Amino acid sequence: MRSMLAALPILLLLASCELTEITIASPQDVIITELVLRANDPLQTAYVHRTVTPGAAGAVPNATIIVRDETAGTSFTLAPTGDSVCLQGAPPNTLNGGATCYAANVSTTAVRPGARYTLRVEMPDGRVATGATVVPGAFAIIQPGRARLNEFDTCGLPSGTAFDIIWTKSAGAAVYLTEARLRNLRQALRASGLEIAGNDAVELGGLSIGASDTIMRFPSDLGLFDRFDDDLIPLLLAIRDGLPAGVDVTLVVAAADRNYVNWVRGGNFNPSGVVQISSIQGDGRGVFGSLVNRRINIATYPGSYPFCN
Amino acid sequence: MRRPLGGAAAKIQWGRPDRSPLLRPFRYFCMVKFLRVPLVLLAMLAIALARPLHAQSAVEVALRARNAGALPGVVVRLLWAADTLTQRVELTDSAGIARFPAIPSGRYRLFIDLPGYAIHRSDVMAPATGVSRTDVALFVTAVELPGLLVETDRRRARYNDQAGSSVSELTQSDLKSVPSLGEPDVLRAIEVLPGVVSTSDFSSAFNVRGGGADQNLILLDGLPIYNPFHLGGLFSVFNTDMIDRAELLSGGFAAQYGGRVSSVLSVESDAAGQGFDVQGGVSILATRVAVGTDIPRALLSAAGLESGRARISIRRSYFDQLLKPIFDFPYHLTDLQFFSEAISSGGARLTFTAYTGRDVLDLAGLDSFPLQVKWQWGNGVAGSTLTLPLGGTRVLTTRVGYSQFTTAIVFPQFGDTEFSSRIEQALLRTELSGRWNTSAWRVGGALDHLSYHNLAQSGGTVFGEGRDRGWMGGVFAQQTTRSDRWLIESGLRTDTWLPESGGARAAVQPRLAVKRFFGAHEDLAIKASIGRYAQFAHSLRDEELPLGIDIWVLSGDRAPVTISDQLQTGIEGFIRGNWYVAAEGYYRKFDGVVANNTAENPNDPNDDLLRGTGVSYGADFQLRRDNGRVRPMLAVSWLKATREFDDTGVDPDNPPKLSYPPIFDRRLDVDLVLQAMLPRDWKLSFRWNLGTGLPYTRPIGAYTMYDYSVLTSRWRGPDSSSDVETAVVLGPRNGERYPTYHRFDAGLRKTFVKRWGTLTPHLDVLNLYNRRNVLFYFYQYDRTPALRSGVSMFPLLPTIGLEMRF
Repeated sequence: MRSMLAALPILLLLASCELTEITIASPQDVIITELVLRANDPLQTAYVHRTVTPGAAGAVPNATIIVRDETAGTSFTLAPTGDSVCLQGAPPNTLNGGATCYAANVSTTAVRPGARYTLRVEMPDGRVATGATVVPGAFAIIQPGRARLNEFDTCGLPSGTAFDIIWTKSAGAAVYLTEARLRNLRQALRASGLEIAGNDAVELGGLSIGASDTIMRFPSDLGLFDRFDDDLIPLLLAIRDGLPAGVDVTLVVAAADRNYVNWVRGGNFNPSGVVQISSIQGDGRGVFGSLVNRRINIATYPGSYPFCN
Repeated sequence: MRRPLGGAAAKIQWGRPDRSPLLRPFRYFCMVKFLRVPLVLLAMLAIALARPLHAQSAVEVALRARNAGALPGVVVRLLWAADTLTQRVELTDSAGIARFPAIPSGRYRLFIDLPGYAIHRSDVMAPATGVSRTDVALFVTAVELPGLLVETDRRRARYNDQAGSSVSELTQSDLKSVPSLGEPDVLRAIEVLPGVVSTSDFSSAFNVRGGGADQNLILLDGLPIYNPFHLGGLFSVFNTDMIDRAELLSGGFAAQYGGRVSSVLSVESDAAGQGFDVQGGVSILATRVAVGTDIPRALLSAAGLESGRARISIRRSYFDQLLKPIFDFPYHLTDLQFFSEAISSGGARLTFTAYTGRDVLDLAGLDSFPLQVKWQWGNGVAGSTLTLPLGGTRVLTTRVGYSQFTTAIVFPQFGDTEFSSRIEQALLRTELSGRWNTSAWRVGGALDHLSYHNLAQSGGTVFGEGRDRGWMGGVFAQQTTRSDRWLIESGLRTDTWLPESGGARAAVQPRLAVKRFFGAHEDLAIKASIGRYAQFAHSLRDEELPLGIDIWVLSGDRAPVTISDQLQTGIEGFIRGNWYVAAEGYYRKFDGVVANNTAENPNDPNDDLLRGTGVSYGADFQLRRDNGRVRPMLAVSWLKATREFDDTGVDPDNPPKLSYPPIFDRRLDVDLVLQAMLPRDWKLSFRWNLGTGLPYTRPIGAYTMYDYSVLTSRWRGPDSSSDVETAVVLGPRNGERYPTYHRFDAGLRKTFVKRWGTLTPHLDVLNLYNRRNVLFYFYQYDRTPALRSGVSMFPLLPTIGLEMRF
């Protein structure tokens, strides 16, 4: 009882601090353009939406989006298309009913590593937003080297072992993002006695900061952003020193430019929500970033593939 | 893009040679211009020293306790026998000597009223020329005297002796009189002083006259404390029972102080009384106990000392234990403080101070928290000061010490993850002070070794790392000359920082202050001071967060040296002997302030901090009475502050300049404090604080966040409405202001005198009329209609505590 009495002021402090809610004026309509150029990809996409405004949908179907190659002097225009081109999975739940997907089919040399591109987004009401990006330089994965990958870019890894994935430096890259889809991991862990719910593939990410950090420990360094996920912590702990047998991994290492990094890592603290640093100026916000991707596959099926290291 | 540093000072402090011959004449011009101020000051100093002085006499009073050592810091009053309204007040120095220079010859009455000792009255003669010395030994009295006049007299002594500093002092009694959260707190109490702004009830971090919170030098017995907070800033590391007094120099501080540009908060430990002494307290925050004792004579004799005291205190919070039946609260703090002083028969004084404190947030043992995390932080401080009278008026003071602050977040499950920060400072200080006719002089030097290491790494990648170490050397000279009704303080300080990473940085800091006394009893004075201040360390603490921890970096390739030029002028005086009134205006310019660069380039290890400039100007007013049964104090502060940085959030490669009011830009701050000594040892205190709204950045819209997958080259949105994460588009930086803040606090104490000691229960009620002062607004644009909600600072918050002493 005495403890509870002593705790009362603290509870009071914690419990009675909410301010009265009041209605505020309508927010401003700001167009958010998310365009991430992918080097050597014949499909370039942008996802365009807007701030939540009363009575207005999130979609932005009438924008004109032009990307200009400042090095070659050419340009391409992205046109509205179906959501499935931009979205992974089912249409999401959003604050104001989605967004509009824009896409352009281009040649594989339309977006090149090391080249500079500018963006111009024009709205029918006259608003114009602009941005610029320099695509990170080309790079190659050197471990596992070409000789250790089969014709499907796949190498094998003994279960319970880890190895270093190493790549060459990508000039101008701000970070290297690693994303891996691990199929059959939950089932394999269950088979080894660890109870993990579900059967879905697990997607885990890693990060190397700066152009010179060209190494990651696989699979130990994966799951960097999932360490607060109650469900995934046992799984992450279980794969620290290697994967169980029977797991099939698709892994992408992406060299990202600074615009992309600024957008995803956030800016100053604001109590109302996340602040993303925009690389688009003028009458709009968003990201005009660029990536150079490299993909390999790793399997822990014993004896089927050349060893990764 | 890195910009060249502007201004002459920057060119000199960074020591980078201009390779362009075109810039050379400009550089020389700047250097000459820059050196002009110290040259003028030095010339003035020489003139002051060479000037023939009035053929007036001087009186020295050497004060000591009967059968004990010298008594430093005691107010000694000299009243002219012919007119007892004419008086001079001086403090005894560290050797226990009070000096009254430049007084007309004649007979004077000496008056010393020190609590715990019998009042001393005697007559002294000031000769026509030369110095008359009087030795006084005070008798200890069994009955403690009220000592109501002490603070007024100390203020008067400072008024007489210091030309430039804006000084406010709080005694232990003052600290315990300001209503507080749970237990008295020096950092909370100084918020009532003019020029001091606190941005949140939840943080005891403070800003002085438009300076950053990291620009305050916080000293415990002369040793720097790098993170003086517990619980992320909710209250300070200082145990009030161990404090004798705290002194805040809010501007115009003399050349002996270096290392910070905005203010100096000097906290002095209390050796407390005689014999075995126990002081303790219980509050909702913590339990504390301080034990003091005389050092055994045998031990003292072996070291050639005559008398000595030692005290040790320990404090621990018990949220974790109290709340355990209700919910897990895995936080506790502990701190341990030690202070001793010993005095030799020759008047030498040796003190030793040690402090260690630790905050622990241990989530590793909680079932309710998925990730095992253990977060620890704390300060460690140790040092010793030797004050040695050298004969005549000369006193040599030498200090050695060590201070460090560390914080580390450990993830027991993930050994590859480390978030840690450490700063260390080892210091050696020495200074020689004395008097020459009507001048007091002080010269000294400092040699520090500093190092820091900040690291954030996880998953095989280093998110950020900074480290450096180096030596800092400083020398200073200052002189105070009293001539007729003029008091002139001139000084020069030079600090040189030699980081291991290379590139020496030197900062020459001239300081000059002038005061002119008026009135028959010199009860009124106008004063002005000008000076340059330099700082070589910065905290990366995000001031916009109400709770936080200091992460320090030292000047080097990553962080600049902060140079601040400051001017202040004002009037101060005493009204009818009881009331002190002061009004000051100031202008401060800051070059080399820093802010986190949220758009830093990961390929540039040196761009994670933005270098900026700042300006603040304003005025402070203070009216107070320190004696009598009712002691009011009114402090009014007006401030306008701006900061200017590159706006890397708009265009990291070619950023425009962004000027905005910093979060502590409170235009008007009013504090009214009232202490009333009621009959039967009741003590009532009130504090009313009003502050105009602080700036904040208002979001102008919100949007759904999508997650881009490099694996599929597609965006992922939230699967359900509960998963929707929103981001905000911000309006102008700090372009809006919260509503006016005001709060009324009350405190009531009653001391019960028992045979074994005293018992003092106290009740403090914060925010008596439950004003909902805004901590944060939340703009909820995802609601229809859009709403603004928020959280307030302290609600009506009664706390009780108990203090005892025997």
